[in-house]
Amino acid sequence: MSRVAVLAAEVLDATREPAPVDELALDATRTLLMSGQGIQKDDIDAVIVSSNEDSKYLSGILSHDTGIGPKICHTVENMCSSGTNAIVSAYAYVASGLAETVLVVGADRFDGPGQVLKSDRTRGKFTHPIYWASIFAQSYKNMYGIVDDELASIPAMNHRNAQDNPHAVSKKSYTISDILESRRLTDDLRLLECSRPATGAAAMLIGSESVAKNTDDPVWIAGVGHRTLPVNFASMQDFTKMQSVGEAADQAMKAAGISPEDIDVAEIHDAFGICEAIIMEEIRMAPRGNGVGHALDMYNTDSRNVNPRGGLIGAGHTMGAVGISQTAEILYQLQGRAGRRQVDSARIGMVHNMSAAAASSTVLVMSR
Amino acid sequence: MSRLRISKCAICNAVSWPIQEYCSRCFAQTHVTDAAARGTIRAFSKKDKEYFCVAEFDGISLICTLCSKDNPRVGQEVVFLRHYNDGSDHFEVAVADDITDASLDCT
Repeated sequence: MSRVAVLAAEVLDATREPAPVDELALDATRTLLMSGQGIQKDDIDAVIVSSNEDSKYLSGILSHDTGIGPKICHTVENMCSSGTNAIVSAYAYVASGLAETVLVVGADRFDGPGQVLKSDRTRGKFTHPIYWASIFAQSYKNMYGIVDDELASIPAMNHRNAQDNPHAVSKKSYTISDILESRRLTDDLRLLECSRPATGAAAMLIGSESVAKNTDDPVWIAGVGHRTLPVNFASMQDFTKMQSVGEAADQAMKAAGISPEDIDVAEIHDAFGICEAIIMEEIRMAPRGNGVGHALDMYNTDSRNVNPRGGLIGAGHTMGAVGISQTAEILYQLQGRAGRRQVDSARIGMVHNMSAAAASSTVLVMSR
Repeated sequence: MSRLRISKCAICNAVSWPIQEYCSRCFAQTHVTDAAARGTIRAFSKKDKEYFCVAEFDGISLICTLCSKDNPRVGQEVVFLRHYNDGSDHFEVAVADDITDASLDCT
């Protein structure tokens, strides 16, 4: 099985403006292919688009619009984790020898159809994600005696980190007091604790070892993990945990031969602040019940080890582009070109991307 | 008050909601039955003046509107009040200890 590398990536600015998804995908692809990475259109033998848009045949249209003539061409939709699922599809094509170079492009608009999982009828009238987030937050606070001020350190940190990310939708830092004084959506969730749906796109090239040796600075996908649980949020066993995260992370770390303490930098799926605390515990970056405490330490020490680009809360929730934007950030970090966001001597990175209130998770381990 | 209608497998006794004709565990035919009238709060929160909770009835967990005079508790017993669908599903439950209270207007 061939080793698989991330060769290059480009991320467009996230906005709150409407834009056609096919044009976003085209813009991201054009930006990537013009960035001088040495990959030509004729080298690309697979094109995968990640999107929640209802449009048909997006990959074929993108291939046509860019003049790429791939062998393999299709779309991936898996709600918020569409992006990493598209990357894993590319990984599988390359590892199996079906493709040498794959273009993966994620694009969605802020008002797209992927934000509510209407098919989970056990949510009753409480279909918006703020309700499951509130259930997690209240359960977690109740279990571990956490107060809102402590939990607010996570969005404060991510909005702050986003100020060094030129593509982020958040253009302002907020203090913990600002977070607490923002509009109360429920008793357990405030507006600034939520990621905002955003319009955005990102494009990435994935390649085999033989392709990677001719590029400037490839980063290897060293481990992949997936876990999918029953879709009914209400049937989740424990609302202080996210079981799919831990299982996917363990698979990916085992495949890469690493332990949680080896992770220098991680992009994790903070759809809401509470998610980041629980996910860090599931990955075992923090002891069970200390995810918020760990985040508070990171906030107080200005650590960039987790979500240096601002996470979804700071950078914006671009749906089908999220997983690709997260993976692009780890690529930049491991290449040492993340600018003011750079984590010193980062050698091993992790991406965690999830869907449907953590019913499914995808984790990548990346290394130099 | 009404009861939640659920499907139950004739072979392995697995329950499900929404009602389905075949068991998702063993693919045998199911039959429709009533879930228990009383269930348990597994988790809760509140939006504006309205509590909402995850409540479990006979192994079926749902997010429900919760009628409660006081702050609810995890593990507290609730009574199933009604389910209706006006394009989306609505489930309503009440804290069992409150159900005889005449002031509980959501009954």
